Amino acid sequence: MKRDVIVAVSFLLAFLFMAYALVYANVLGLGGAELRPLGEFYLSHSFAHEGLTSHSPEVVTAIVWNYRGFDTLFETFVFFLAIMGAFSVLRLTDEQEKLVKELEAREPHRQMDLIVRAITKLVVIMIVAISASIALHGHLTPGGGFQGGSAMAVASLLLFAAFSKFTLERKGLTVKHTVSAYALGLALILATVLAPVFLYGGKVLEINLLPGEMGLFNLDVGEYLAVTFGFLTVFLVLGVSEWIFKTVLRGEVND
Amino acid sequence: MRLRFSPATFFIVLATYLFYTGSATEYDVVTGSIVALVVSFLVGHWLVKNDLKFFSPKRWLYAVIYFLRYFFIEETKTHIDVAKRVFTLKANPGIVRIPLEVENDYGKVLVANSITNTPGTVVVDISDDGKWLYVHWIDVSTLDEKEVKENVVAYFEDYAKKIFD
Repeated sequence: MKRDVIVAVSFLLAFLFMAYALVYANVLGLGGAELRPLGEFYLSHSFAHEGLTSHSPEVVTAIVWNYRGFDTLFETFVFFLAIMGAFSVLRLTDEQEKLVKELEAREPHRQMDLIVRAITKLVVIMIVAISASIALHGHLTPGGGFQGGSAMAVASLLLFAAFSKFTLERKGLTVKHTVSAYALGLALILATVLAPVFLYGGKVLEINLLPGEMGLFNLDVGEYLAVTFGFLTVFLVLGVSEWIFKTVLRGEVND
Repeated sequence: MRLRFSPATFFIVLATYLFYTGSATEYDVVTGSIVALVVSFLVGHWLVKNDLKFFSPKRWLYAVIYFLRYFFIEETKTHIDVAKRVFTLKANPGIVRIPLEVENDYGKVLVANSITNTPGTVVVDISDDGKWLYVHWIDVSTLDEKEVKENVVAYFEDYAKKIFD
């Protein structure tokens, strides 16, 4: 008890000291600095109508896609590789999956109590709406596909906690479905990235050739789908209890 | 997977979407409606079982009256009561069991959360069949079931029945 108080007070003092050092003593030289030439260039050039531009009226998105488009694109593929890695390390054959289902059916399934479940229903539905709003306004406001997808991942985690993985699987949300939806998202991203090459004879990722803000919108939706269902796939795969997984893997299922 | 459209879910999703976005331009309404359509078709009647109940103005009116009465009168009264107890150190805490009559799940949640939100009482658990609440009460002055219910649940359940049942 006493130690907790000391830790809390020392954290508070440390934060106050840091705030004082940064704001008033200006240790890092951040305060009162003039806009540097690079910052000025970005601000004045981020919303460009001509040249290689993503047509985004929002500065952060514009900088991300105008100057770091490939970086963002390949981040998606790093994420893809990570998920596929997890998926292939923990893969099971069809027969083994059947065994897993059987063993899981034998275990007692408990959900959280009525109050938690009822509230979770409402909260999950609202998170879905909010995450869609974050993702679909990615080209207009801060946020975007990845942020929206991460919010959706929280919704699925809440469902896992309040209900159960089996409730979701019984309602039809299996790994097969989530992987298909994930592939759909990636396909949309790839199509948008390659469309300028095949339709307009441009270069890869030259999405300013597409009409209006369609390029960014597609990338947002694709990334939203990919991240949402990528996370969900990993959750479903990791959701198999370790004991069941290893029993099936070693083929030690009797009777 | 059953695909059944639920107007109430559509309304909730669209309202949350527009509220969070903070604007209602053409783009927002169109994308919001698409999202709400997809979600309400996927979810069906999982969230709202009876759409007629959701769109009944009488129930919404009762809800507004309830929340006004609860947050302005009940909350103030119990806050003063608990504040008095803090200074006089008069407390007789214990856990009591309370029978629930409201049938609807959301009604039970409304009663339970109203009790928890009221200073001095906290819902500790709900029985698996949802018919009993276990409440930690700061002043167990009586053990008679009826009186306990009058003191702890007060009018919450009457309104919960009117709103949700």
